[in-house]
Amino acid sequence: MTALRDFWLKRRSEEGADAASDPVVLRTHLRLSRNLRDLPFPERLSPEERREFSQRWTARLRKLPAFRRSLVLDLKSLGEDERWSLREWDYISALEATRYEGSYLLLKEEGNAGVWLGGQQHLSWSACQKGLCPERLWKSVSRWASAVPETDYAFSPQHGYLSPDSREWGSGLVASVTLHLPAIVENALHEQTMAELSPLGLKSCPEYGFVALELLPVVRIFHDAPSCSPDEALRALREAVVHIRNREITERNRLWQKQGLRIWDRVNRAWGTLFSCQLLGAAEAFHCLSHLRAAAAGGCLPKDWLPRIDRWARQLLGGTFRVCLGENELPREREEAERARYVKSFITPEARPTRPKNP
Amino acid sequence: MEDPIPCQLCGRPAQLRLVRKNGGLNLCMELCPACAQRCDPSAEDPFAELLEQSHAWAPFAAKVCSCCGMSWKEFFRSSRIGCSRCPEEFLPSEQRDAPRLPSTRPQGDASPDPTPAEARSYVFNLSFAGFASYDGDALSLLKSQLKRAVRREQFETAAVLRDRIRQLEQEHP
Repeated sequence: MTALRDFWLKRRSEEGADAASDPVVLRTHLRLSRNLRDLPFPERLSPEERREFSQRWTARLRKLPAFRRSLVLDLKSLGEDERWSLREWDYISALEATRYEGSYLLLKEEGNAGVWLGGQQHLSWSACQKGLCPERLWKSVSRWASAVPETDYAFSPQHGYLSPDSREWGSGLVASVTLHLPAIVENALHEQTMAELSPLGLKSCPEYGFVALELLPVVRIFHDAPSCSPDEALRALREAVVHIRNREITERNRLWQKQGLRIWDRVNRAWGTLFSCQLLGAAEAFHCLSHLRAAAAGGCLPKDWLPRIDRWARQLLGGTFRVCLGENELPREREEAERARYVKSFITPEARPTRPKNP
Repeated sequence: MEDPIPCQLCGRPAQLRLVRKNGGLNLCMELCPACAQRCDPSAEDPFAELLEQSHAWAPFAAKVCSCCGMSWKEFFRSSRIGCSRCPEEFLPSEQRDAPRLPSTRPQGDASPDPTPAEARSYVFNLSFAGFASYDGDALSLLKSQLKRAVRREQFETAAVLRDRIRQLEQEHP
């Protein structure tokens, strides 16, 4: 595979020891759009001009300490799976990436931030981090965006930062949080919960476009009102996340009390499926991981399983794990051996789920 | 007494104010009901169709952005800009946000002004014509029409109006 696969495999910072895994909040994303004054926006540039722009700015950004040893990717050279993996981490828009030929992505060495050059915007700064930390990400991203020397961004005192679509004029900020909500989805409270968010200016979307919500109850909520000040947007997002998190915990407890046996059976089956490597594809793997994650948060598995499951899911998203799921073109015997080796490095017999007395 | 705001197509007193809200690039139009009726609901962008008929925009029609090469029509139809200079190129400073255009009523036009009832019905019809947004006046017209329908016990009409008001309020809270 490509440099991107190696990159995903080596990536460690998101699961740093300082960031504890949360039972509900998976990660926070933040994107900051900036365009340059008196330069046609990327959609008005030819592919050659875009490439020239991307190369020029890659050189400039790599002079910043944060991006000195970053990975540079020409989006056109990436496969569809790879583009999807980048889209899931909110670095690019998978559909738009093919539209902007000549656009580059600069991925920070630690893998928790990137800049999309010559895409929908001239510069689209992104960062993601485990847990709920929108303020910290905002501080980092705004610092990077203002650290580029001699840069004149397209800014109007009346409208804020300008972008091709006038609906996006303002702060240029889109902040989102990815949540694992198995109990809310199971109890069909998803739509009602998300409707409660709209007065706060928040929207939601299923996190993984190719997996149905029932199969993977992961939802991303995002604040998409660029006319708001960043402080307001981040405050609204935090309030909403706290509200949803409390509801999810309440619903999980209720589910365990009312249908403990059924859930316990489901967790066991998920564990067994993973342990025996009988997976059919990425969607089934996500499904099993979702059950195990909820089980780990509920005390059925050791606490250290939460980061382990998150790491596994991330590698699955990064495309590396698909090798082990029969979605590659390896010879069959090699594929099976590879799959067994890889899966069993995560699912060990000692870590069999135990039914908690008081989940 | 303050002069009535003229219709931007014909110059008669305007009774409707249509607003296309698109982030920072809001465009509004004052129309008399007769001109509003010329709106073609089947058009891809009924608002742009109307606005392009206005003579007041003629000086802009031939403009092309000196930085990105975007034409006025492209800018106007897409509500997108091609570079940071486009707003300055295509909209005079006093009109960059919700511009009001001067009267363009053709000389010798003696057609009668529509009645207020006709005006209200146009608002109602226009609400189905795919306009992105309306200002509070149009919504209040719909509401007063609803009250009247209820008073007259025209409950079928009232139900349609009620649903339309709810829809508009949800779309543009």
